Amino acid sequence: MNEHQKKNFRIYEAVSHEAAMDAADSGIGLTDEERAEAYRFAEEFRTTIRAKRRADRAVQMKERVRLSVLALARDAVERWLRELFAAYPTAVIAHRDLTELSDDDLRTALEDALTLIERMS
Amino acid sequence: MHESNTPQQLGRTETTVHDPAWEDAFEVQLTGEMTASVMIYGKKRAEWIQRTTKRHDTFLARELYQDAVTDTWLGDVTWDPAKVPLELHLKRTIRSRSAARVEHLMQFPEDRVRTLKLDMETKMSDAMDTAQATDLTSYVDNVVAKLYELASGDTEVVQILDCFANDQIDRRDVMRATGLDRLAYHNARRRLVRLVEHLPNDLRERAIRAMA
Repeated sequence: MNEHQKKNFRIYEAVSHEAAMDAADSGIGLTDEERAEAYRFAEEFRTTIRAKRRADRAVQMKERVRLSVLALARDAVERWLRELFAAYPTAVIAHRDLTELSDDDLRTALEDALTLIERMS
Repeated sequence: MHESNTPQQLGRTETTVHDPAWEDAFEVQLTGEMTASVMIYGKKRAEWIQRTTKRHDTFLARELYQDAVTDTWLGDVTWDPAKVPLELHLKRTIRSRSAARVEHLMQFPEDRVRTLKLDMETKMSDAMDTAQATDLTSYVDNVVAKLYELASGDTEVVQILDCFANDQIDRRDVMRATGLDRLAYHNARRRLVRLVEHLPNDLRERAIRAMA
């Protein structure tokens, strides 16, 4: 393409872009089936992302939580945390409401609390 | 062409390392409504490619928007959440890729002829047009010449076309170059999009389907 043709292509392309943006802004141009497909694609993608992030967190948790905490059952972790809360009522420890935490998050909370107390002592 | 980069292929993301805040932004912004908007954009651009090149591809629109999402997640395309919303980033990715396809086929029309011969879905009538494959540039020239002719009484639209010709395609660049304020730019842009509908019949039918 010569320079003149390149300029014309840029115009042709840009007008197409503006028309496509216009259609997207108006939300018109998809069949019901296509719209459902878009929603499904986003939902499936987000589900996969969440699973991947959960797996990442689990790996990170195993890397930084001491083995003695990892080996504990949930009720033992909760009991230890409650003892710590009672022993250190003024310490800033996140997640004092334990019921909403997953097992992994609960172990991470105990690890954080133990680390904090070790630093304070 | 096969459907590609479906969510199932996210297994590759095991090697992708993103900042958790980046992942948060990606997940929050990847809504169904946003994806539908990106899909509309991708569909229009796919139609533009197909009408311009006369190459039929059932999966092109899907490939454009799904690849943009997946490649962004994988880091093949860089997205900075602090600078631009995910939706605009995805549309820009689709724009860049679709423009590159058409430009390539205009510069190397022999690739298009080869594609036409290989594409079993292409209608015979399209294949008959192979002789005109090298005529893409003149088609584009004709469309642009007619757009200028139709816009001749509209200084602001002509200014925008001139900006496009000079590769000033971003709204802010166009506004800076033309001195148009936001409202004037918006209205002129709408008039420009509508101009396509006023192209003569021989150009109009193909251009409307390509652009609109």
